[in-house]
Amino acid sequence: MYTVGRTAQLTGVPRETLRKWEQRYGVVSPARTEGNYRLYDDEAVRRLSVMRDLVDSGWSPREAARRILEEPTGSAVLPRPGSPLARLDDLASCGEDFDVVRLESMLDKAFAEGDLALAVDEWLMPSLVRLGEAWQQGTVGVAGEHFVSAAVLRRLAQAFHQLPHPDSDAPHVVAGLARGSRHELGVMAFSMVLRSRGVNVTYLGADLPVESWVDTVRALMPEAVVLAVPTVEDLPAVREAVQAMTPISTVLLGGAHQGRVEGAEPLGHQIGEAAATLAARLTAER
Amino acid sequence: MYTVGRTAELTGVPTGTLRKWEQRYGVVVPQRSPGNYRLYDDEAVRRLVVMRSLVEAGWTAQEAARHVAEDVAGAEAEVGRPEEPAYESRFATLVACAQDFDIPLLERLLAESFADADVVSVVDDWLLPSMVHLGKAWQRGLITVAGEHFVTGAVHRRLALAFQSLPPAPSGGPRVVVGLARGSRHEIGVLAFALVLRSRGVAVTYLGGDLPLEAWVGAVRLIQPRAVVLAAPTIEDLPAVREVTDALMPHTEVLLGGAHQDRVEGPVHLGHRAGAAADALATRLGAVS
Repeated sequence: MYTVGRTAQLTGVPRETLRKWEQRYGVVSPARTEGNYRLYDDEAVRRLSVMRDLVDSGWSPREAARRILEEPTGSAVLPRPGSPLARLDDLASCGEDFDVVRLESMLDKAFAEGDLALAVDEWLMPSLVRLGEAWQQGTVGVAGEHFVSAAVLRRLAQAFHQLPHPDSDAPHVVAGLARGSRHELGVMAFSMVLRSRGVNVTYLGADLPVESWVDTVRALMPEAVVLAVPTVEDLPAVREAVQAMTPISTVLLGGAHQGRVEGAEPLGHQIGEAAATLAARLTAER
Repeated sequence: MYTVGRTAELTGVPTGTLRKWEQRYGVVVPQRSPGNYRLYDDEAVRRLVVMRSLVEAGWTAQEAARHVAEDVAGAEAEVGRPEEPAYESRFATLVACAQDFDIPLLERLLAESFADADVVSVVDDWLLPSMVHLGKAWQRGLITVAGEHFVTGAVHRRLALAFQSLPPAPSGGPRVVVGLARGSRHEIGVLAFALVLRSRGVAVTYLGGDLPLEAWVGAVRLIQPRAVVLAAPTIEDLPAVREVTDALMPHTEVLLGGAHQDRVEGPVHLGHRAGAAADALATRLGAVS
């Protein structure tokens, strides 16, 4: 839990604005200490970072707050009612009862619903947010969260490997996480959608030191490099990696805190859509 | 944070030696409790367990301490690794993929290797020896960290694909929980083990890497599996593995794999052919494949 001062630091949003966003738009509802001071949890910090990022890029605070409160939205196509993609609490509930069969069949159904970008944006990522909320509220334990995340990562890996190889002259992107950064689900989902759109992806995984990033990008000369800033703790290592790589390649950044790193192009907060857009752009530039 | 007594248990270093290593060689700087007792954190415990294995391997305490203080992960790589497997061209191909980041070649190699009808043989005769080979290539500087990540990531994905392609076992059969202790992140071995178990009809609950002690205990109490499988792939994993096996043994049968399994007393040691061990465990638990 973070005090209001620490939250202002972590998100880059001034204290008064924090209060305003809470009172006017209800984007967070911080707990209170015994002395009635505000306390923000990780999910609140994430929401505030996304909100700041949207407002910085020209959204009105009201629109931005609505967007955050109504996740998922933002995509033109919404899942039809009754579709497995409309059920956002099912994934988190598997973290309570460790039901392998139900969890895997749920993932299979969601990934079978037409477009992978849509499944990621409309179902997977919002469901993972719910999982995080359930963890914060204590209904899902650390083991339950690991159990679900591991299954999601396996299912993403399966989808990734089942996609055909793009042509060898297709655009090339290197994706992964900075040193110490370990939340792979977002960047893996991004890589999968990118590959489904015909881009060659070299996936480097989590926790890669900056020298390794630089050497690899020099050797492979990709059209773009994709990293993410899923948590506040990732910021210093991401800044270091971005600074080292922007002279040699185009660097794009996803994750809740992407707006707080200078020099990199922000990808926005709809992973599937962003990957599809990047693929189209790189293909057009060829 | 651990007391001096618990640290001695977890690292296997007697309390007198702990003090000596601290005062003479400065290998750790424990914090102090309000009552001025020593308190050791995770990093201290990790350094001590690596220092101990270097000293056991014949280093002087002075050299070992300097090495550990400079680079604990590098020092870990100096000691006790499994025998390098006999040379095979497909091991070399994996190393070549890590050198030139050739995605199609790597994925084709993985597809061919996993096409072997018997998953036990895939794991024991190709996958795990290949990973040892890859680790050696990294230690010798033949491949970069990024190259190692690139190949390990693809192997992990291919294992995940094989795992997901098998139907989950029907409920009612034996259930086994598989994962790694806190701070432990080398998942390939346990995921391969989980794959063979699942192919033999065991219901596997896979919890992945780096799971804290309380989470292990809570999950095992809730799921009540027939057995729990963990691994000790590196020396640094040993303290957390000892801690979690101690805590789980009153609740269920605990089995341990990985290069350094023999250094942990209590759990059943699975040996170094993970595929065959998983197959034997499935048979013993009466799974119907």
